[in-house]
Amino acid sequence: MDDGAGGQRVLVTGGAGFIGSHLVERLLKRRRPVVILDSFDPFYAPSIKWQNIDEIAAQSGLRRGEDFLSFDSEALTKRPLCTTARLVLVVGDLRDRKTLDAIFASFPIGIVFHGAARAGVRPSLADPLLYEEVNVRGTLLLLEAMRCHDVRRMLFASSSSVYGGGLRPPFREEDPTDRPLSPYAATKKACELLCASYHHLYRMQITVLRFFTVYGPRQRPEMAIHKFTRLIDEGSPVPLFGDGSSLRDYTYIDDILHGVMAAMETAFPFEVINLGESQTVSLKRLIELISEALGKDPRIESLPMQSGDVPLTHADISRARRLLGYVPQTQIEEGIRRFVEWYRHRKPG
Amino acid sequence: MKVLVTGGAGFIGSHLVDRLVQEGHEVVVVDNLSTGKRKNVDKRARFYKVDITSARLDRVFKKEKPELISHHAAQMDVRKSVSDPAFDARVNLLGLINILENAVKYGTRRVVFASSGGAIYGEQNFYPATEEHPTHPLSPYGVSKLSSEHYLYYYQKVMGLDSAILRYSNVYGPRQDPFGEAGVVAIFTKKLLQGEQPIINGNGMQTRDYVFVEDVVEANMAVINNPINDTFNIATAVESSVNQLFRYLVDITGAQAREIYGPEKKGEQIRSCLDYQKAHKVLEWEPKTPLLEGLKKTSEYFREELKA
Repeated sequence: MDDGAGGQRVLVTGGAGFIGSHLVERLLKRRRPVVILDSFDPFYAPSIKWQNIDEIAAQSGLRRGEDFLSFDSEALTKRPLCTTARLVLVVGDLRDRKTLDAIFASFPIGIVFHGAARAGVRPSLADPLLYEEVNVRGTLLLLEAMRCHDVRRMLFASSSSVYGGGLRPPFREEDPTDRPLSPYAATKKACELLCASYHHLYRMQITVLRFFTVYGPRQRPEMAIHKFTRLIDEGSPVPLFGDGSSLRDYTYIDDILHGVMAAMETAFPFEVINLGESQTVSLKRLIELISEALGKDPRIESLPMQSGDVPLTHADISRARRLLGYVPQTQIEEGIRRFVEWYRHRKPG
Repeated sequence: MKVLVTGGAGFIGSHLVDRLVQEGHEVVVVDNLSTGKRKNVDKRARFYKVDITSARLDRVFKKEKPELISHHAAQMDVRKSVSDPAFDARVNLLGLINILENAVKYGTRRVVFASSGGAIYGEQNFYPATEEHPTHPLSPYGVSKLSSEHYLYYYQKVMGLDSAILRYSNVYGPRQDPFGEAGVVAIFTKKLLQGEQPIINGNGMQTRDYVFVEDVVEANMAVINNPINDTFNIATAVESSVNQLFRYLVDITGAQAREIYGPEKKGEQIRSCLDYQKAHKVLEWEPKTPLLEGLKKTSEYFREELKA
């Protein structure tokens, strides 16, 4: 069942963002037609997201107006749509039920990659209600719309933050995830729970992917690696929280994409899978690596540990290896190098 | 226990024979070697080269008087059933009846039957299909498998012959025949190992529920050891596309091959996956082998085969 674009489409929510835009490129490369839903939320500059979209179109050789169409939700809800364009961009909000219905009514969607969310641990302390609205209610609205339109498959972008603090590393998927340290983490866990119940009730085939701090080209500007790169490059002081010994499992975007594509190809009834590099890097070492790659010395500003932050993340990826053939390839040194290279090309002026 | 395995020289049957012999059962094999291979049969099993439709089967039963029959012999080529439905019915239905009549005559207590979930449920209404899913087979092969189940029910209720039915999804693994139901695994693996280019039918997005033969054997052992008369799906509930299968095999074999697509096969089922919760609850069985691992073992087998 398809609309002539080459098979059932993949709906990528948050497809103008960091992970989403890369995924869209991969899908288009594999000849899978895509619908993007993105609200271009100003959490970070919408111009960056529009640039991501331009790059997708250029990278995939799509001509606007022909094999790449954009709509806002009003245009979409006004009349039913029929198109063979390989990429359709819908500018709309996840929280708007009418938009979701219009998307599912207009396009034959085979699977949803749900990456749209309010991201970031620290901002969730400042505005927990907004995080609940977008992340939990938005996800529930999406699941409900999927149920009504008989769309059965979802890949849900969850987060290593669900593991909270105090667990012995490496974190395994069956470890308890009942003590999230931030509203952000709690909303991600809440979404996992909703997915589990929708799987049970409506036989939806859902795979929850717990991403471990993804980095790489197009990383959001407020995330550590991107932020530190910018600050060191500009000569501004770099905030070092705590003594710099906090450890993170940073996962390069290409490795994440391999995992996501493999998860897309296999419909598990319900599965939770970590996607990480399974190597930990201290904050101190991270700053060293970025400085080396930039060829500039950092100015360190010591600050206390932030609330809501977890002291350590470290993924056990044996399940991903077994079920998806997932084998991460990118060491942190190489990943940072490639990120800094991208950063140099991208920065204005 | 004395067990008769029909089709015991074939793909699934021969693995079951190995396991039964290992468990200390006395095993008798009946196979006409039309697709099975004599070398697959464990030397400790007693072998009879007999067609299940033949009158000579009576002599085997008279001599051996098996307590349990595991009936795996069949015409299992779906395309052959379409081109020659009478042949399919003769082997799958008349062959079954021959076995069941002999079983009743010579006092066999129970029959375990290898049925086919994929072929019986047809294009599904919901995924994964439970045993309650409506049965609407789309091929003569599916019809003969479903009809076999009805015959077994009759023999159970009226003739007192106990039976358990296992509905397999797509079984793959070492000794697999390219013409069987999950033949694509064998076909792709052999081609890639030989440096040939396999062709993917259609767009490769058609999905199947691939279950590894060792897990299927364990299911057989579970049902043999549990005297319950019921029907169980034996599967993984996981759908994998042909594209994914291809990619795994390219990785495993290290072959230099890209996806090349050919015309789609008319009437080919688009999606298939079976729910195994009933087997899980009642037989305490679950599949243990993820696809990647099973394909590695399968690939090793074919690599050795091709050397010889």
